Amino acid sequence: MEAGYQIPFTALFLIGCMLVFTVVTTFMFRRQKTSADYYLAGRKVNSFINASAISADYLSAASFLGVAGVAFLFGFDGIIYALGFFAGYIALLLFLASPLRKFGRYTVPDFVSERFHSKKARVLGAIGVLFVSLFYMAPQMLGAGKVMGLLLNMEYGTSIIIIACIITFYVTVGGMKATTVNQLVQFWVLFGAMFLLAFIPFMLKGYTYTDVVKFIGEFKGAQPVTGKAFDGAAYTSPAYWLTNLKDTLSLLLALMFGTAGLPHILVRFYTAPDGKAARRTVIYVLFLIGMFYIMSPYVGHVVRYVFLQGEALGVSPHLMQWLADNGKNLAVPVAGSYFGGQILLGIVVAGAFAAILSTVAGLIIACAGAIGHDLVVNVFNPDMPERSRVKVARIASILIGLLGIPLGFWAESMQIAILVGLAFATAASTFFPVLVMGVWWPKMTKNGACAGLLVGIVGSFFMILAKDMLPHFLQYQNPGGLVMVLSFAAIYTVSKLEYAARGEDALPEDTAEVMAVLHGPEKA
Amino acid sequence: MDRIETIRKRQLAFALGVGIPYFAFVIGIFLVVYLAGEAISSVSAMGFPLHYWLVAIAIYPITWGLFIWYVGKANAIEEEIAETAGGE
Repeated sequence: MEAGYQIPFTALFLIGCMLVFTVVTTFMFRRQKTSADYYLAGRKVNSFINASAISADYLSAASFLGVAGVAFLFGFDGIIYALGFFAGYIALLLFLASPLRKFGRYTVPDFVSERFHSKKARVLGAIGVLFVSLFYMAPQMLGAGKVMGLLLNMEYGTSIIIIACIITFYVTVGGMKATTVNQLVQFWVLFGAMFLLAFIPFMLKGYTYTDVVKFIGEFKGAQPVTGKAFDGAAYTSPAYWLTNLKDTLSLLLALMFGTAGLPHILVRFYTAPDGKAARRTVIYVLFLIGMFYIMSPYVGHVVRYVFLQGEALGVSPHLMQWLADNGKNLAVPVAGSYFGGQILLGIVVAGAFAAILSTVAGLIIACAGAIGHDLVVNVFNPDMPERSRVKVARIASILIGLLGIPLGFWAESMQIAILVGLAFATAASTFFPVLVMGVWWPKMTKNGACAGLLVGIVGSFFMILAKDMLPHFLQYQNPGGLVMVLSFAAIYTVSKLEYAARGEDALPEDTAEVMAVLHGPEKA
Repeated sequence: MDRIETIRKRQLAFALGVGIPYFAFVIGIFLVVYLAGEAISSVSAMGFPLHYWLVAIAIYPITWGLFIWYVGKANAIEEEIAETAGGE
């Protein structure tokens, strides 16, 4: 343990309370009669609860610790992440939330498979879900190991094993119902923590956003602890960190449209009672995450303000060292410790714990759906009885949950940004084009859908992992925006060519009926 | 089926009519801030730099207002469609 640091007992108390609550709700909701109960909480989740659960799904450790951390490190440029994450819900609201709910299936691959009557599309969709979700899970486990390990004084491996086991237990036993109730509580813990981190400096200490930005903007000199030069004017101006417009635009597009392709977010819209409730849910989500993304860059700037005045404000040496060494991940816990001592630090640690738990739970449900429902049941054994399907769902949840452990070890030496970038790039380029075109374009063909999925999966994977082999103009820090455009182009071109060659035979026979379900009035 | 096609086109036109200007606005703000960074950074409103106002604060209430209106209108269109379908 580092000198001067004590494990906050408030954190242990709050985490203990959350775990007791988790166990109670898990056992309350352990009976799952059908696979719709297990995957979709019986499709009866009300809009406000669903919005809290979706927000908890979405605000992962990367958001809770990372957005303030990026703002702390890179100033104004860090805010672009908050903006992109927030605007992502708009595409979902405009084009997908209501039609997907009206279509009324279980998973995203369900949609592509049943819209085009193609097992190939289902398998590609399931592969896409696994790619996106596992790459999203890896940085969560990395965060669990590095940050929770540090704050609770545990080894990296011990942290990820404990967290993976807790989540696997309650997702496997309680399914979507228990996950939803737990996510509701977890959201308010993490939102409450961020609210206190913004409220205390703003209202009680009088650190207004204006004063903080003005002070930082006028600072020019050596940073405390490291002695590195710091130019406040550049830090508070655009293009301090994001210097390449092409990369930044592609990143913004990936963040804006990747959200609408994240399987663990999309699957939650199937839990709404109807299409209108799905739209209402997105509005609540926009409020909740909007408030969060206004507060977290402010907190990042406040931590920079405190760091630059370290000694004058009486910041303890170990907090200064944390910021100098790992400010990107530890800006939020430092704010907690500095503004509220052990109690607020405890609440922040509990908030980070809640963020990890809720997001990984959502990812496990999405992956379990891809394996259990899409591959095992629909591809290999469509006649499987309902009771066995619930069993398959539970086994898939155990496998995916425990897969988080090796995934966490694999990710230990990797960069969080690369993994999160891969998840968003794959989601934006794989699912968003296929879903939007599938919902709104009646002339899209089966091969067009498969081409879009293939271009999305292979293109984003190749452009990130084999970036160095590509010519310079094709090298992107985050290729999501570019591959998304290519995927749209592939769907359009292949569908047009196929339609030109085969006419109406190229389209699924029931296209008109499917369009009626997606866009017509809902049945009572 | 022509009726469904009309409904689909009406809903798509409405979604695009709101979505295209909104995304153009977000990406436009971003481009203006990055391409005219120095000019924008030097302007402030109530002591707060304009680029912070736009990207860190103003975009949120604008989005909330716009999409509360959008959801109300989209749901009204659906109700109208349901009533028309019920009357036929």
